Amino acid sequence: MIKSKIHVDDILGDFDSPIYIGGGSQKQVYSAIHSSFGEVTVKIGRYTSDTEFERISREVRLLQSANSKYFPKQFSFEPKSNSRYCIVEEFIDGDPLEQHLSGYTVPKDALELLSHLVRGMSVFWLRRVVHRDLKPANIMITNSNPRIIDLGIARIQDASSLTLSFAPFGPCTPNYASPEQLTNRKRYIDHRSDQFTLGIVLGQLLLGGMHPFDPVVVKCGNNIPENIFHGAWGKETHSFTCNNEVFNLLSTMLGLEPYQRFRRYHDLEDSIESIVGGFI
Amino acid sequence: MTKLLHQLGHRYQWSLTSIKEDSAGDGVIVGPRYMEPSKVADIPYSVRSRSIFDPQFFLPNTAAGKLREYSFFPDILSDGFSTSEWSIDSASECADRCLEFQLSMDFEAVVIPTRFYEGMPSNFITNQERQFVHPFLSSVERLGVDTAVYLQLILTDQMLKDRPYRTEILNWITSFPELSGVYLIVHAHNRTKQNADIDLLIGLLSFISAALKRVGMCIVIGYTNTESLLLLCAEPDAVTMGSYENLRMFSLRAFENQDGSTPRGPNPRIYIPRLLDWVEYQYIGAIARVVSDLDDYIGNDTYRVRMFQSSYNWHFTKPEPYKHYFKSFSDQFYRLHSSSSDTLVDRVLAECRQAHNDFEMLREAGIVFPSGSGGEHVANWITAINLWRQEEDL
Amino acid sequence: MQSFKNESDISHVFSIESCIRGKFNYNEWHSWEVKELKGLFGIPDHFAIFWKKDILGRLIQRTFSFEMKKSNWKRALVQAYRYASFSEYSFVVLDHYYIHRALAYRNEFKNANIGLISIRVDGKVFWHIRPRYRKPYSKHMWQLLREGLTPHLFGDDKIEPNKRLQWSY
Repeated sequence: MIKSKIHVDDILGDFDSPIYIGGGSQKQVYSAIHSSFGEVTVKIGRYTSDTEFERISREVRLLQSANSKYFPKQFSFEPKSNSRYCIVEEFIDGDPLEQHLSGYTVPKDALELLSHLVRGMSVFWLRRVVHRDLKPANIMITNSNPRIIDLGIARIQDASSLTLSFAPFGPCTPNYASPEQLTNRKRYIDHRSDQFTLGIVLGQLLLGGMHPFDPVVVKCGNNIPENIFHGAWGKETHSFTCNNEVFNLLSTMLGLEPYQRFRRYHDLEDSIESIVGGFI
Repeated sequence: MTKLLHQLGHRYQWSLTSIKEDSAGDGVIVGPRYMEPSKVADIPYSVRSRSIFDPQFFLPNTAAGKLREYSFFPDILSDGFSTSEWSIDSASECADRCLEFQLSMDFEAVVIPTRFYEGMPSNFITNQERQFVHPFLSSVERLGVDTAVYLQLILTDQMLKDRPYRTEILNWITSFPELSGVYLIVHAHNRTKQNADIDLLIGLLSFISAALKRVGMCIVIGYTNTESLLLLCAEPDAVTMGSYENLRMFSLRAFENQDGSTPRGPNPRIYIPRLLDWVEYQYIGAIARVVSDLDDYIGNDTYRVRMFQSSYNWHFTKPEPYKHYFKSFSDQFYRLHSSSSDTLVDRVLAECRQAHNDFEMLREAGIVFPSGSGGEHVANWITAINLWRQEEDL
Repeated sequence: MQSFKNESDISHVFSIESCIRGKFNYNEWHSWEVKELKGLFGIPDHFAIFWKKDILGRLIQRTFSFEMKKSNWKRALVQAYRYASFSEYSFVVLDHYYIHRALAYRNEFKNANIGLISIRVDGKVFWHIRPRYRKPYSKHMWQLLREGLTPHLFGDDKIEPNKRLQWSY
């Protein structure tokens, strides 16, 4: 049940054919037709403080300035009455990666996708912005390149729906969180935390959808977050061990401590490129 | 390949001459405690460009010795340094001036200074960031510094031996993509003349190899004694050698306000490469009676010839023992590096085992070394290397 | 059995002359406060030179150093070995009350050729290890000693005006 639903009718009145996509108590997402921009995604949310509003607007400006093909174009961002805001952004015609996980079991394909994601995120890592929620549900597969959605907004919004029983551990999706996110060691949450999440995604792609930290894959542990916390992933799995370079890449990305991962994101990029280059 | 730098201090001219005349050493680490700015500028460019500068902000409220000549030193800049009054503006100005000085001298890298902290303080990282790291990194960006940037760190033995604390430090220093490397100094309590603390040595080797080298950071280790040969196993980018003991073992003493009393000079010692240690020169006669080839133990350079003349007056102010050390130690260092037989770790182990056997042989022949100077450290080094090697799966 | 209160008490009771002359058959000797000599490898608690004539009437001279300790035989051994850099015989003198500690390591003394003596509070001396003759191992120290002592032997305050000493190395 959605608690205290945001009133959206007055805002949606500016658009044609709004269709509800999803959301929670703090944010609702619609697809709609805009008179100037065409098919758009409309995000209507509620902010609880001026600081929060500032943070959201800063991230929208970041996306606007980055003007990256890996993120939806930001058309507008406006405050509304009753502590609400409205973001209008490019509608991404595609499906979330979580519906395509079985289609990237060939390492070359998985790494090419990963390469796109790293390139896309590097624009923000350069500006010390961390996504914190780079899970397959937030990666859209389109006819062209993948698109990353919900940059940073997810970590601000709807914290309650994300953290669930992991509220003490800060905003994250526990099954895709790095160990430092799970333990809320804020000082060490940087681009390397996103790198860890991308490592999980890479692992899932190679396993055709299975989570690399899943107790079934690892053959130990009670749940995925517990295995993440202990650094227990499917190291022995054939899908990982069949290629030494891929295994080394994954091992580094899934380093238990941030210092064990690629220190600079372009080192990660270079590493992926050199492996992909080897496949050609 | 690991470089060998001279840790400059009192009598820095000996080091500079040693590089020039004996090709002993690859560069220097300049210490302003003993060198005013004009003397730093006098170092030939060919040496400076392979060297770094150590701002020595260890006690920022005490401008000891020639530190008074540096306008960027915190106590001089703020006319009396106080942690609580160290403002953002002061920190920025300090950073700008310090970096500008280093850049003007064309050093190989610029160094972000550190302050000394005892023990394992919980606010170590926060304090370092606020006082120096963030201001200096902002200055790096402001000045458009395109040379390598090293972060100086003084880690106590407690910090290095405590795995969780060590991990926090590693996570912290690797979070700055602007940094090319770390200039590390180890401060060990209750140290004997040679570093023989197995846990500390393993912690240090792990710090160098498991973390920094693996993620591509440079690491320079300052104030090292003969244990730098042991540290070779982890292949840091540079280690040091220093004339007097206070340049081979870090201590705050030289940076504190002196009470006017002159410390007693050290008993003259001679470095014996085969033994991996310094021995009081009076023991040479005893050793000469036991070994068949003293040159094999001590080396045969011009300084050794001079020292062994009957008229030679052994005193800690004489340069020969230290120049002999620079020459013979660097020869040993480069030999270990360049040999193609076995791995570097195996070569260092072989060197240690030989020293261990030599000490045993000398003891069995009746030579009584003082406690702490009888080769006890070598057995610990062998243990540390073996245990570290197992951890690293080498 | 009683022990000495401190090392200076041992020094008061210890008589070099009676200890050495009895064992080594010297007939002339002199002792010095080596503290006055700068640059030596350590300062013995006691230092003495002994002379005697051999069967051909030639003068034999030997230097003796002593390190006094209550119980710390290890430290005493290190010090005594240092004195062997300028002294032909070097001894550790321990409080007899604690001698058993050192005796468990008598081989270390033998190996190093350092003499081991213990003394009781009533002055009785016990010999445990008698060292062999050994030339001082540091020529430099030996020369320093010679330079330091020669004025004493040939100066106005000397004991025997016609003494000729053997200082060859």
